[in-house]
Amino acid sequence: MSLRRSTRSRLYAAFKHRASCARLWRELAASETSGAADLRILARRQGETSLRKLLEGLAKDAERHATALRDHAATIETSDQEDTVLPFDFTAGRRDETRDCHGFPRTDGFEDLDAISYLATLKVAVQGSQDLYALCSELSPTKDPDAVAICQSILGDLQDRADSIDRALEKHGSDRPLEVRHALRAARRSPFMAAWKRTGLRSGAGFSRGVLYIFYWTLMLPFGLLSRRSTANPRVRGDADQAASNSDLRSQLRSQY
Amino acid sequence: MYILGISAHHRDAAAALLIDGEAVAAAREEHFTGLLRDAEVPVRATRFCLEQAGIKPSELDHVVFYEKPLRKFERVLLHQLKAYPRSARSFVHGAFAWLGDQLWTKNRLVKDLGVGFETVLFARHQLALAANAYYTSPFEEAAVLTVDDAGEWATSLSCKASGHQLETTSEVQFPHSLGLVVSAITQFLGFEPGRDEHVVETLAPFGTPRYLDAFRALIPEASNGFTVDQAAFRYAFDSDQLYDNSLAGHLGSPRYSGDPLLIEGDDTRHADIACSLQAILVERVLTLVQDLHTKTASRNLCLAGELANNRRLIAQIADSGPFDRLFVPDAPGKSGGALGAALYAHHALVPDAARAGSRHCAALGESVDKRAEPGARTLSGDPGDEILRRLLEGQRVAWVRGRVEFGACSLGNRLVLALPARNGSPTGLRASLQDTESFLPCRLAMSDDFANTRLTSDPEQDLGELLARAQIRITPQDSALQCTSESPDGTICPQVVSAESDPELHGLLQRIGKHTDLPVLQVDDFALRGSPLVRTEAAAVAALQRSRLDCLIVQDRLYERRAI
Repeated sequence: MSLRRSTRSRLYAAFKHRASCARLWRELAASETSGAADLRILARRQGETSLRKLLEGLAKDAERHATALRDHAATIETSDQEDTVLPFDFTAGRRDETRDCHGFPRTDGFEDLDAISYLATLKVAVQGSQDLYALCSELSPTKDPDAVAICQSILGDLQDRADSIDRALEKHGSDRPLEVRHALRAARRSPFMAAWKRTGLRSGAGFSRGVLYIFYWTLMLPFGLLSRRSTANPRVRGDADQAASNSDLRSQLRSQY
Repeated sequence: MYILGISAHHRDAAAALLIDGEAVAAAREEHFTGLLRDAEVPVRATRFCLEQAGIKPSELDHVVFYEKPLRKFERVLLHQLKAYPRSARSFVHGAFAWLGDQLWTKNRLVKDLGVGFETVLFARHQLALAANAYYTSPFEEAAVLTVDDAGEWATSLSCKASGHQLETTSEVQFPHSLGLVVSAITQFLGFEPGRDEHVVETLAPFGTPRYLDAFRALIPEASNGFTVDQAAFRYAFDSDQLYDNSLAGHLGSPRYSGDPLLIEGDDTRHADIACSLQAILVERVLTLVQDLHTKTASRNLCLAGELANNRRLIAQIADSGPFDRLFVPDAPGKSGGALGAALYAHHALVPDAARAGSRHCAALGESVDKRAEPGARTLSGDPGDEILRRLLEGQRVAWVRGRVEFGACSLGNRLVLALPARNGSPTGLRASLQDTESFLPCRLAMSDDFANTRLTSDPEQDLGELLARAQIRITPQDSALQCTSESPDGTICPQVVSAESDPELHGLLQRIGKHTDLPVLQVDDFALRGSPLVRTEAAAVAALQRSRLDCLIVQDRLYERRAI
């Protein structure tokens, strides 16, 4: 089970009381509703038919799940518990610039992902949802068979979707297994590791600039002084001369010089 | 044979795909990222091109980069050394970019685009630009001139082209670059170099060329064309500040962004600098053109490079130059280098290949969606009727259809339209696109038959072919047309539309003529200030919401700003 410890503790706590349990169902319903709306926007912007159908299917499932969860919450809560809830964070704090709280690609960051990265993000999101609903099903009290049935139904839908995503990923990434592996790894990346990597890159860049600066004032000094003495254009060979000397066009095109 | 051309690392990164020598898709990276003049390796544009052709990266026969990275690095490094120790800051900045990225262009292309290592080729920069101009032109033989900022060593290249051959006749070498002088003066006048050169060009008619002698001293004539006095410029080694402080001795103090722009009233110093710059550009480029004409004895000229975006310069070459016919490609600058590199490689590798020439089409980008965005109303009749009705009511209309054009300007598929004012006052069309420079004039769309009769008094002068592709600035002979000019010198920028090239816009212009006495429309690119041309329907709707336009028509769908 890939759920983070904080999410698991939160679910364990939620299932201890009837009121918090109802609130959890409503949070999940809100998240599914919001996710469905985003998926519909994404589907509309997606040009490829198979991906669009997949997204539309996911949106339809999410809307159905939201209705079932909200109805079930209504049956177990009292009227005074009706308050506004925030959507449940499916990513357990893994939201970033590309993923929203459902773990799905953000609508505004959507165009930055190619098909493989996009499907990898979806796959990881669906896996996260599967783990979450599996735990919900496991924790649901035996006297609430309806909740277990809803979770099982959702898990069935998610399994279908996971299979569709696998098929799509296979279709798009058949000749690029390395890219698929990288995309899946990036989709599973934790925010802590991403921040660590960013810090490493920044400090590495700063260090490199420092080294280059020292390099400029030491190793480059004699060359710099020498070339300052020359008043002529420091060109070695003109482009036209070079083209004329290299008659073989194919080898000329291969050369980076 | 699939050949992909790539331009990147400087500005206007783009990708263009040829199938058997025919351009099937070409796109600028900025259209996908939304970052104006995006210079990153065009991964998204490449993805679009491959999807358009329905192929995978592994199926590409060749990927051609538009310059030679090692040769350019040699030039950059040698000029950094020559400027020692003034180049300390720019050396660290430049070396970081080169050692970390640009020097490994081949590996980067292989990794980012997923193409084979052996497929990657490199064309020389100026030759890629020249190939873009010549191979997309309708000419069987021509003289080709590129006037650019910088590539590897050459900054301007003269060629003689015939059949498939491009033969270099002469070149001007770095650091003598007209394109970089224009960028430096753009920065000196407080605008952004690499983006606002067209603004400086637009300032020219507001002033008088009182700094022309100063510019003649800064850019003296030479045996191969011109040289540039390097004491007044820093662009050879510094990409952040392109001019030296000593330039103030020639032109007065520099203007900084946000300072008042001196173009009207008693002090028109900034306009005078722009006017003098334009005058020296015309002088020096006409010298190159004259020299090229002497060497090639051709009647046809193809012009490319960053300065081929200068509409007044093209007009001067067409008017005063020795060539009978002039051709400027849709994207004469860096982005066109992607298409040019692919075309150059194609003609080098397949010597008996047919040329696309006049069959070449500008609309090579992404098409608008088939699905409507929220807030759309489907029009029952002809969208042209709706546009006409709204234009006659005085509304400003955005019109989006078909595939987005490859060049920096839209030739018809991503336009905003309004009826022109007759007193030279602005219609607010530019202001409705969040443009802050109110002095920037719009273009005038008109049909080819109207242009042929009303634009020029000289029946021998056939401007139609040139005006259909290159939007140059000319002085109309017709008094009614002169009244529509927003420029102080009375020039207009016609966009000539023929029934063959764009039947929809041509039809609309004909219908405008039936309702008003002047069948012309004021048009401009549908792009908000600081943003590239809109690409998709979703982007068009978003731009409509942020603009002060009245409505948007996409194919047969209508969006009203108030209703969204």
